[in-house]
Amino acid sequence: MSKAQKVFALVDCNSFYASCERVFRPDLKGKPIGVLSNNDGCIVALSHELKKLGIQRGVPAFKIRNETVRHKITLFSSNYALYGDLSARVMSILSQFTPELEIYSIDEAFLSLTGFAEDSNLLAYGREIKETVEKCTGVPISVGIATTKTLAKIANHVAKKYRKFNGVFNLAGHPQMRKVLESISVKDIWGVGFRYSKMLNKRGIFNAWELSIQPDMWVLEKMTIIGMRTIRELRGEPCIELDMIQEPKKGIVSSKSFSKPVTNKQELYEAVAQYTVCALDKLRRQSSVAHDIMVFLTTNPFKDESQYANYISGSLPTPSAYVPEFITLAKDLMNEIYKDGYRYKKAGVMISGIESQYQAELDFFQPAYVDDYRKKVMDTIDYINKRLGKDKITFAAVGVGQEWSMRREFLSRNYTTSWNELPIVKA
Amino acid sequence: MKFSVEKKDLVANIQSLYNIAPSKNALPILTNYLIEANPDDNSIRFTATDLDITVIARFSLSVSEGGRLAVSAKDFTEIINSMPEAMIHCEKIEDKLHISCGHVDFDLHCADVEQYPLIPEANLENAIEIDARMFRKMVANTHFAASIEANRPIFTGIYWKLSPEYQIMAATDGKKIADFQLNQSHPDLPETEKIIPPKGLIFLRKTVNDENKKIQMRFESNRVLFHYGNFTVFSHVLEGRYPEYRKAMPTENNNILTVDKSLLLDAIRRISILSPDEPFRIKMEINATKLEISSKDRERGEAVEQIDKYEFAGEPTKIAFNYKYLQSILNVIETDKVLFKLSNSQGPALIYNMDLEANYEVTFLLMPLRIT
Repeated sequence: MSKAQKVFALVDCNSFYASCERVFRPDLKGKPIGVLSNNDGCIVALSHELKKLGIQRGVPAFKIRNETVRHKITLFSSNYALYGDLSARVMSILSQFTPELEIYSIDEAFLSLTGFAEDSNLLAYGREIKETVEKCTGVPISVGIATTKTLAKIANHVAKKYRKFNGVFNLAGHPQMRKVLESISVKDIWGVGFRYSKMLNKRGIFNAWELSIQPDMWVLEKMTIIGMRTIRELRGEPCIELDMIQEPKKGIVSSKSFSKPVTNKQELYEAVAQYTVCALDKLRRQSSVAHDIMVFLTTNPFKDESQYANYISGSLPTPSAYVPEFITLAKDLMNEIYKDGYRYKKAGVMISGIESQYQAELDFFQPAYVDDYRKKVMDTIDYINKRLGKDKITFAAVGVGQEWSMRREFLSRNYTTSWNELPIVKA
Repeated sequence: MKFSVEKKDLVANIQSLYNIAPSKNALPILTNYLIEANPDDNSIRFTATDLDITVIARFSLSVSEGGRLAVSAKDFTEIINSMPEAMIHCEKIEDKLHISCGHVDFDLHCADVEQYPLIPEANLENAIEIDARMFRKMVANTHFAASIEANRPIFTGIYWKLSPEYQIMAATDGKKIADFQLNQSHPDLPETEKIIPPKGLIFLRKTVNDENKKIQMRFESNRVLFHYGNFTVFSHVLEGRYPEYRKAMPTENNNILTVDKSLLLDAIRRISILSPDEPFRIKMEINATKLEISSKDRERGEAVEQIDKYEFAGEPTKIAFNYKYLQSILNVIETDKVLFKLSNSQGPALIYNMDLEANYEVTFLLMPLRIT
């Protein structure tokens, strides 16, 4: 491998949500853990031990009640505040290992290792990354190293699958590249979807090696230029660059099913106001402002009862991230579509018309949000909530009881984001 | 109903009418023209309305049989436009309108004419006459600045202040202001202010020609009536208080730029190719030795153009604009040169015709974008 050859590492946190829960519950080491979806509905994340029991992702929690007792499975309601914070810590540590980092998802990141270590040292560098992250955060990770992002994904897959590699595998310049690729099913290749894998299987192409040697014209015809890019990456030609700039979201949705059907208009107001608060919180975190909000309501289509669903959009004269303005608008909009006599199962809001708060157009008749008291108010609220814990200060419109709010019976503590929920050590 | 008319005469009277009839509406009957033929005076009336604006075109032609019907405005207009340049014959046969021209025949289904809303009679008693060409100029210089967003309804209208001494027509969407002041006395004008949706005014602007010099106008309680040539326009007026937009106009913009309008428009047209889609940003860097227009799109690239012929006095200035707004203003500048009065990168820019000798003053104000 020449010095100019690009090298990528894919770092993936193992069973991330379950691992986060385990960081503050060391007593659960080696024990089966599951994390539940909203309203404690289905299992969405499983520890290695739970997978070994034959439990699959997506299974409703009530269907494994007996197994839960028999195998002493610990279930958790999803705690995104905890997962988000630990993810940020992992990414922060990874950024110390390279100036070029792409945060691909909450538990995955690509690192450019080009020119960082000699070929022989790449494996050692990968191990150092793994040890540092695990020591500093307690979250176990796997590291896959290769000359393209697609191959790094494969390397990570191998690192995770075979215990002998201790969670780090270097595929860059590997003497048995063909053997490794032959062990990867086409459906497990990054960028090859379920539809393509079925088509490829029908044509007798079952593994990554077989796909990599297909003629270019055939690939272009059957899998378009995007598929061609994947095949070239399998051959070791880097075609997908690191995407280091995280684009701000163009639309932010905040919506959840209620723990019980809502028939009361005031409660529905509260829910819409709460979702507006959540969406605008995300908007401010990316330093953006928005023009538009869409409000939607729906009954439960799976129930044999009167059905109604509707949505409506509205906009502010100038873009803002000021919660009271949006709550007032959202309530007016909800009033227009609300119908009495239905059992509502879900409501939500979508914020759109998003732009950077520093690039928003100026207006003659209203100061820009970024120059206004409205930003100072929101900054102060955000600061207090960051210091003292989520929702320490919020808006009266969201109500106090929130009986409609999501069921989270197995919620762990916000160990890292709330002073009141810090882990307690008894000596 | 049965009438005949030369294609060119029919087209001349209904070509702008089509824009008044909505293409889609909760009331489908409004997508039709109401056609009323009167054999007594050999005249015909075409009416289009969206309930806010109603336009009636009345003109003479050969009517053999009277009657009234409603037909799709879109289909009728397209059919007439497609016909050869010759005499067109229209005849209602049962529930269809038969339209023929030479060897071309169409049968167009009629809608239920009884569903068409009641159209008020135009009462021109005590109507005021205003100069049609000046009215056209006032509308042309202002309408583009009105808002198309419904979130500030009053901004969707054109502000018109009338008095015996002068008239002001203005529009703003919060990002740009167009202000036209006519310094001409007109003793018949009442002292009043109205906010009128642009649609009816734009129709009149397109209709004004050299033949008819005057527009008759009458203000009623919640609407205004215009009569010009063959056309009568009823427009509702918007309720509410128009913002005191003149307070936004700076008095101390001391950086003065004069530049050839067409050179600047050409440069903007080229540079805007690489301007980001939103908010259509271009940057101007101006000092005694350089007038540079540039754009930059992170993904696509960057563009720069320098304009050599310009005059500038003041502090070096960098300012960014939404180029679409700037183009809309430059497009109505009448003089060869355009005058900018600037302050700093965040202050609004005043834009004027250069040395315009007329009995009116036009002022444009454009809010800049933040320099990034």
